[in-house]
Amino acid sequence: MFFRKALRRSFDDRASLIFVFGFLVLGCGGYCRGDDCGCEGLDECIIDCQRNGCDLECARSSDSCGAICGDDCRFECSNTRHCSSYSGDDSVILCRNLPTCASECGKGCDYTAEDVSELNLTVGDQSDVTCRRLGQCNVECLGSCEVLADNVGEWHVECSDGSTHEGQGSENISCD
Amino acid sequence: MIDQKISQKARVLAPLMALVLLLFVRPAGAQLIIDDDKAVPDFTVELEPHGVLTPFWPPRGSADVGVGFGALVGINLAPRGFIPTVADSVSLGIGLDWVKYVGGRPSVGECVEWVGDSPDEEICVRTRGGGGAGAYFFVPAVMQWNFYLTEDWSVFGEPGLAMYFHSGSIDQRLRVGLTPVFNLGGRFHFSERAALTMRVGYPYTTVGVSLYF
Repeated sequence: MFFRKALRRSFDDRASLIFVFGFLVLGCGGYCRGDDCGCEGLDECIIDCQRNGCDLECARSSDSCGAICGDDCRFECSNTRHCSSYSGDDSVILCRNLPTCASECGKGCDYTAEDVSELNLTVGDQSDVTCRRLGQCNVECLGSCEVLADNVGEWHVECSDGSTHEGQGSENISCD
Repeated sequence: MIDQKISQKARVLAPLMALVLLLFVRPAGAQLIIDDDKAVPDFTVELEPHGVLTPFWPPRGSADVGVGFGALVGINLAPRGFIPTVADSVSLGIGLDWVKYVGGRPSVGECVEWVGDSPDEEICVRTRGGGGAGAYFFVPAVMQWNFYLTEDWSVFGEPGLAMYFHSGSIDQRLRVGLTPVFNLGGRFHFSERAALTMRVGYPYTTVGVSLYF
């Protein structure tokens, strides 16, 4: 009897409000804390940020660092063996002080590599690339782009029209 | 000319208005029917279009919130349910839902797809986590166990599995996966052939209308 009364009270018309408004519950926890995601000391640290406007940093992983991010991505990578990035349009990427960097980024990419033995990079239309104190700077431009080679052992730039530019030292290279 | 247009509109709207009135006008009933096994509504198929909202992250990914829409088709496999002395029924539900997730936080994951010809050229393009903001399609298959408490109210539990499909935010490659589903829900039966249906659970919460056929 008591049970029935309780049920009746529970399911009067006002109860509908509980169903409609009572659904929001807490999200899940975990994932990265801070921009560097705690990469320091890991063997491999690939930071996955599947949205626009990510601001990421990876340093001092023993083997490799990496970032996967959408448009407007900022990523700084340093002091590891290999660094990779895979990002959308209008990204700003800095890769410095390590043996090898490899990246693909979209249109309007602003990419800087400093004190790196070898860079392999593919950038979208209207991108700017700076290679400073590099052993090798290999860039493929999928559209118009500007490549600044500054104190580079060997540079190789491929443009989307099929032309290639190669040289040593310092020079401004343009793909139209 | 204007009268003709109004008349045409009225011809379309009048049956719709009548349908809405028929669906909504019904005296409230609070009498318990849960212990009457024969009090279960008689239907073969239920069609439930609904809106979707979720505070949960998408499977294997991170996002702040997701919104969308979809529908569930319920096939009434056991109209008298599992318990002989209780007004219950069991349906198989198959659905299709589209959910757009936004926001999210970065995660660190193991790389599962590298591209590049040599180790020096390798770029990680996908991690084991891999998900996040973006559009997802879910195809849930659930067992819906309904309990009819009063003429107006019923509740249900809904365990199952859902396949999901989504493309990444950078490339458009399709990702496929499987995720568990568990929902608790309730219905307000405002007519014999229709109910307001609400469910809360994972991977998402819905509010919609059930139409019984």
